Amino acid sequence: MTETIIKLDQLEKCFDSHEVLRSISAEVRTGDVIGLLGLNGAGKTTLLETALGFAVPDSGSTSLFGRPASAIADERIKHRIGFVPQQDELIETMKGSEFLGLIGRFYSSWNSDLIGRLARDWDVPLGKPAMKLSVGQRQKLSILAALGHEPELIVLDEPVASLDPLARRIFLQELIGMVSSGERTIVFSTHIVSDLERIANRVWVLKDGRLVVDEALDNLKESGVKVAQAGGSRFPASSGVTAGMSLEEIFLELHK
Amino acid sequence: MMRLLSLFLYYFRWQRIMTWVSLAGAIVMLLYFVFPPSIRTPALIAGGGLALGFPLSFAGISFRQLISNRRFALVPRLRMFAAAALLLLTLAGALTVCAAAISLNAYSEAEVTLEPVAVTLLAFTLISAYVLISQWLVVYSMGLIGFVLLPLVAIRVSFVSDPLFDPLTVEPLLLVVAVCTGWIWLFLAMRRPAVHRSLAAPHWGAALCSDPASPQQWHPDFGPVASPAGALMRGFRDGLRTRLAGVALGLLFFPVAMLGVLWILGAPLLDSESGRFPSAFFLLWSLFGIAAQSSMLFRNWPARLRYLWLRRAGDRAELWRIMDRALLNDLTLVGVVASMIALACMFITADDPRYPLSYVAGCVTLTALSSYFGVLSRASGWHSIVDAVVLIAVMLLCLFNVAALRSGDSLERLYWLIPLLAACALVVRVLARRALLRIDWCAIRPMRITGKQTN
Repeated sequence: MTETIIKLDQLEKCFDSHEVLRSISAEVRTGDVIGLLGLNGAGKTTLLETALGFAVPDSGSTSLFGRPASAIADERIKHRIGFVPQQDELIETMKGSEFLGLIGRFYSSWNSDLIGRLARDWDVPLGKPAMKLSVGQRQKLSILAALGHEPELIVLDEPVASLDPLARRIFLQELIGMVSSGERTIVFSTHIVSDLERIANRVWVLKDGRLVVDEALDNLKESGVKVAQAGGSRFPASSGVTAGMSLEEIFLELHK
Repeated sequence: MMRLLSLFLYYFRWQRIMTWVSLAGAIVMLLYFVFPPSIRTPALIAGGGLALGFPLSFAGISFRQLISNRRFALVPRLRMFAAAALLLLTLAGALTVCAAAISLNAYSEAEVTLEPVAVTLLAFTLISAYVLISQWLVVYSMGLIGFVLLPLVAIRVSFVSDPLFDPLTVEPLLLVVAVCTGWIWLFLAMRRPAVHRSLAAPHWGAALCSDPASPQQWHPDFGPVASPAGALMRGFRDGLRTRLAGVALGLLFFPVAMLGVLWILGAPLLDSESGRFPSAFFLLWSLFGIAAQSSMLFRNWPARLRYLWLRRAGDRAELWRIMDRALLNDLTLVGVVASMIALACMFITADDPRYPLSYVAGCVTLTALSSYFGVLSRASGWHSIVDAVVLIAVMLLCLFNVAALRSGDSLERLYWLIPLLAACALVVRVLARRALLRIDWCAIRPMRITGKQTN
């Protein structure tokens, strides 16, 4: 049975007078692997973080596992979520092993074996303090910190932006392994469209604060894109204008 | 010249504001004689503190940041220009002091006149020593410190032999050679390629704990830590030892540093009338130190609470309670350590017990006020201008207090401040809680101190 994990209803968010998110309505259900695309400054980070309760919406609502996201208090619900932020949360003077040990103390179900294996596979230098790590190594450590408690919902904000191609491949394989059971839900933002095509089953495209595409990946490629843009459809699904296009071409076409 | 100086004084917006404040301070300092006689001394000290304190206390650090910044690495001869600007700033500071000395000679009724050349040389030497010593991490040169420490010792010797100090008749050659060598050393170091290195430990507390995890080994236990939530909130290992060390540092660093300055200047460390330890001076600087440290330390907590949002049970109100409890624990430690310092001062000086008691109460209330204000400012996303204004107000208050004490007033007139501070702290705490309950972690993000950043 699929459960609605995240529900966004007419979500709006402003910073000062700038409207970052405009009337966004969408749902994330169990087993979804959603790839979020958008230009720099399109509002991807704000959307993901507002969905997780880091910010209170200016209007509309966000719910997480059926509860209002910004007022969520139940630890059991919080521990079903793993979040990899764009800006890592490492403590500069702590070694990787210490930091993971520290994070592990928050969770009753911390899987040290899994983290140990991933750290070896991803070649993460756990013996070095975070301040000595490269950006890519820091990112790997952040991902490990978000996966150790084996969350049901994994939200990743540009997780592979600083990873080398090999690390990216290994990371994606791991994600594919995680979602293959169908019990895990993943929402991730990225600029690397090929990665999205490899693992996502659904695509969100954010443009000027609006969710202009919310479509299953297969539908998107085969039938064209239905654009939920104010002022009419750019590519009605029926017209099939984008049919046969790669996702990257569709994305570029949408932003022309 | 102005473009060079703007590297240090006019680069960021807060620097621009502080520069105008410094100029205002310089005007007050130079025109102190237009004030009524009763407030001339405080005006002179406060004006001088503002005029010199801000630009010179940040100059060394700004210079280090400037030459370490990768963005500027390709600017031709930037390192040399920056060093020249630092020298100019030092000269400007010395000349300001010279102008103040001339003004004092002209309008002061004191019998002793100051020798402007000697005062300028003294000021130049002291400022040079300060800005050059702060460079050793960048230029990797301990020898540089040797050269700038030498004139400090010379000044100390000169002051002891002659409190009126005329360096031109005592050790002029030594001073000039030592300071010039220090500056030449710095310029030579600037010709070498830029050295990029990680910052020193971002927080002193990190080095104080033993490290349980051996290198290259997966270690699931964290080791000695009071609370993982506290560690994430503070950004370093959280334990009683680190908290105690932090409080002790905050309470002792400033007064010990100020006593060091007095020692260098040859001022009598014991009270001239009673021949006892100047406890009032020591305790006042201690009060200032802990308040300044707390404001900086707790300011980042509201933003860092986001790290607990998905990890700890509870809504924003619960996170406030976690933070508030940690803050109150720290305040208790401040009270305990301040009491020990006060007791020590009381035994040494046999002062009226009201003084140390007021000091302990002042420490706790002022720390509470500055901590909660830091939390309020950050949680509300206030502009850094607010912090700059508060910084100026604190500096002025402190300088006026010191000036008032130096001019012989008693501490008693400051007693009424304590209940006022406590009331303000309570009000600010309520406002801080309200701000935290609607904090937007998308807009307010933790400030970071990072080391090497490479791919």
